[in-house]
Amino acid sequence: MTNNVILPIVLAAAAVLVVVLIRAKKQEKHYDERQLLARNAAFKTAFFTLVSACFICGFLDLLDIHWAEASIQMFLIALLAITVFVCIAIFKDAYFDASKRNRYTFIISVFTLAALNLAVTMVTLWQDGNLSSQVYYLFTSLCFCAVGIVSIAKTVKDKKSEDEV
Amino acid sequence: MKNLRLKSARAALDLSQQQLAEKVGVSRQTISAIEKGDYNPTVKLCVAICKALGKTLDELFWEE
Repeated sequence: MTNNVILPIVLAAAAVLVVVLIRAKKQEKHYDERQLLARNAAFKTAFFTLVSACFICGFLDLLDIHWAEASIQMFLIALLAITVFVCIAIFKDAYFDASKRNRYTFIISVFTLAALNLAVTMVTLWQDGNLSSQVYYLFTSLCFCAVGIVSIAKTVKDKKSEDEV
Repeated sequence: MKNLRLKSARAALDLSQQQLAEKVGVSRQTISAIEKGDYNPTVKLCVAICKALGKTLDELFWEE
């Protein structure tokens, strides 16, 4: 990995960390017992997704099926696990849930990001019979779509639940 | 198992799920899950709900 790649990643991670810490201090949101349990269940599911995906990639490697470079496989697996966690957390109202008034903005933003990533990936996906690094954008687009779909499903579920009251 | 007694007690006080959730200090989805029987609250939460609705634990949460 060249310095050209490391520095932007470090800067992006630092920016995300700063934003998260500032928002955490401002909101001081209290999660109730059900939400904490749901978050733990989401962590568990994401962990086993991560482990299973690693095993599958390792097994494919043993069979000499090299579908992508090791670094690409690693990032895709990590992204998959994070997406699983986020989707479950949103659906169970455990975390990452936008407040009611921001929910539609959140859904639109997520699908916009998905479309942007998909547009970038249209350039070149396959190189020399292997997935190129463009697959990051395709997979990121799919992950954002998944988050958006889960957010919509949760919004519909909440509306139905409120109407039943 | 659905908790219809909790729902009736809440309705008797003309409280929405959101209002009861705010009184108890949990999310609306948690109250909804308890009423639907999708979540078993801890004793601590049961006591908080009973205090908010002015009922006893037996009246709201004892299985008949």
